[in-house]
Amino acid sequence: MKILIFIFLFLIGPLTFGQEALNIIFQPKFETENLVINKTYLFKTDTLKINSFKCYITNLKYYKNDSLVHVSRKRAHLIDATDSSTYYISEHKFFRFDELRFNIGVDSLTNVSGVYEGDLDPSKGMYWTWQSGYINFKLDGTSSRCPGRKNKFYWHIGGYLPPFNTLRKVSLKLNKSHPRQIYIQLNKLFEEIDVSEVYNVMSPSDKAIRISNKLQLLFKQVP
Amino acid sequence: MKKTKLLFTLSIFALLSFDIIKNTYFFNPPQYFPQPTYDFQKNPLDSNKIELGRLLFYDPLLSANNSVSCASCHSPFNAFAHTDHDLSHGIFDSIGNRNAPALFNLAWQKSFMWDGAVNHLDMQALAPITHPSEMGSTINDVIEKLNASEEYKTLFFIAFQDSIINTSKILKSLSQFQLTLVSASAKYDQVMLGKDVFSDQEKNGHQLFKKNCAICHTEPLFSNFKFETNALPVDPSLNDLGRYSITQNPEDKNKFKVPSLRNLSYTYPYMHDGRFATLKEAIDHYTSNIENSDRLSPALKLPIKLTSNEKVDLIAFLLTLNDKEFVFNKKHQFKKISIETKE
Ligand code: HEC
Ligand code: HEC
Repeated sequence: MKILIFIFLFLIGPLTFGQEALNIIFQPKFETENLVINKTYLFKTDTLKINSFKCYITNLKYYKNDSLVHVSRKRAHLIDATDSSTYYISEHKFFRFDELRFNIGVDSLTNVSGVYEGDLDPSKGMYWTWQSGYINFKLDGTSSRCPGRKNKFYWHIGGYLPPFNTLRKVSLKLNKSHPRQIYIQLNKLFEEIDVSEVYNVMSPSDKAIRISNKLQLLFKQVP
Repeated sequence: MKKTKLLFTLSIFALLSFDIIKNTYFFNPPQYFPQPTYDFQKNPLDSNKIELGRLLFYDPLLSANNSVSCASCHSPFNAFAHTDHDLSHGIFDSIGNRNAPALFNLAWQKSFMWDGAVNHLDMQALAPITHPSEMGSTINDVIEKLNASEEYKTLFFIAFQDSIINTSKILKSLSQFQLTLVSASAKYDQVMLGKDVFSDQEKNGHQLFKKNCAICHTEPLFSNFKFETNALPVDPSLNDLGRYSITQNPEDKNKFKVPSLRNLSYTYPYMHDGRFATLKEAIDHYTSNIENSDRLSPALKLPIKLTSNEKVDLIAFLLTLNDKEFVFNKKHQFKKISIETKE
């Protein structure tokens, strides 16, 4: 009997080990706090609220010593601040890595290949219906410094055709301490982009390019 | 071992050919048509999805107040264009800023709308559904309404073996129906197939057409599907700059997607803003009004000179592109589907 149990465990052991999941988290932050939708933030001379934050993380790959160890099983991942479960990306197996490479946004091939389900479903509010293309990064809110109607700003960053290709590649070297935790430091964007000047971005344009050029700076390993 | 391998490859072959048979049964263009652009492998045609798409196309449920369907602006009897208005009319009697184009041979188009704003047939329907002056709805509202209908739930299940109604299934069904709108049985096509002959007048018109028009309105689809300008002066009340609004490239100012010239008798008025009510006006534009703009296609740099007899011949040729069989095909018209649901 004992030997049977042993054999059973021996057989099942590697299976369960093989199925151990690996989770990484992309946590949106405002300064030192986790982002809270519609919370009032005092930031320098500005009073800010974020009404909506969504962002595509796509083509996620894990590297160790510069060689690829794993390609994420999901083609595109939509982070949505109204649902913190979207901050997690889980892989079916366990492995070690010291670098993440991914895109902020949806690549041009996907943009021209018709309709998808799941996170790329055009009903997620991240697709422009009047001019085909995904919104790669969306940040809406109010700022006391914003001259728009009711102080509202709309940063809808998308566009896949040159010269307005807004997809940005990120590679993050990770140190050993917290390799599975990434911060998306949203306050950084307000340091880089003057919301009193750029506040209405809702199509592929020069302004969208200006913002997209700063997006890599938001992604940081947890210090 | 070898035997199983053989069996395996054979069965794969059988499966594949089954697929091809299924698709070509509903989509069977003539040999002289080019390869279609649409990737049928990602959305293989089958009768259940086509019929579901047809039902959706004619259903005003897709609009905010259940008043406007796709067919409100794209009527089967006008080769799926709209003839009453120069500019399209939508929900709450709002007026759009462009003429609703005819819908046929969509499988060959690389981009959609007059300015190519839409890059894939599957994505096209999102534009009218959500446009405030067309159907004024949202895709989530449409999904909710479809989910509330037992009939649609059953039809989606029959079509997809899955009753979850989502964006992809709605859009793919609409595409399937629209892909079956192939216009390839005009007199011109009969002549191509050697089953008919042009009259002398039509023959002469064909020569004039090849010389003056075919570079943009390329046979046999009668469009090169590129963005060109035929030098229409900009209507200041619309200020529609066409392709430029998508690319913001000054080279693209006043460029519009070259429309097909099939079925012209059914698709009046003409041009992106429906400015010409008759074919004669459209042709007169080419012979007398071409503005010399530096963005003008080289094809129109030299003035097109046609005598009034030649114009008559050209029109006679253009009329051989009318496809009555397509326009009156019952398979494309509204049909009430009744399904038996078990009590
Ligand atoms: C209010 C009128 C209206 C309604 C309703 C409408 N359309 Fe259209 N459709 C238009 C107009 C106008 C255009 C051209 C738009 C442009 O160029 O910006 C168009 C363009 C198209 C095109 C592109 C054709 C081409 O050659 O580029 C397709 C396909 C199409 N419509 C399908 C549909 C479908 C499917 C529906 C229903 C979901 C629909 N339309 C509902 C007016 C309408
Ligand atoms: C340089 C390319 C070019 C050439 C050459 C050309 N066309 Fe066009 N044609 C166009 C474009 C572009 C449009 C759409 C323009 C718009 O709506 O603004 C068009 C529209 C039309 C239309 C209106 C179709 C509709 O459904 O609204 C007709 C009819 C037409 N052309 C006939 C002709 C004839 C006949 C000739 C030859 C005498 C010709 N074209 C030569 C580019 C061209």
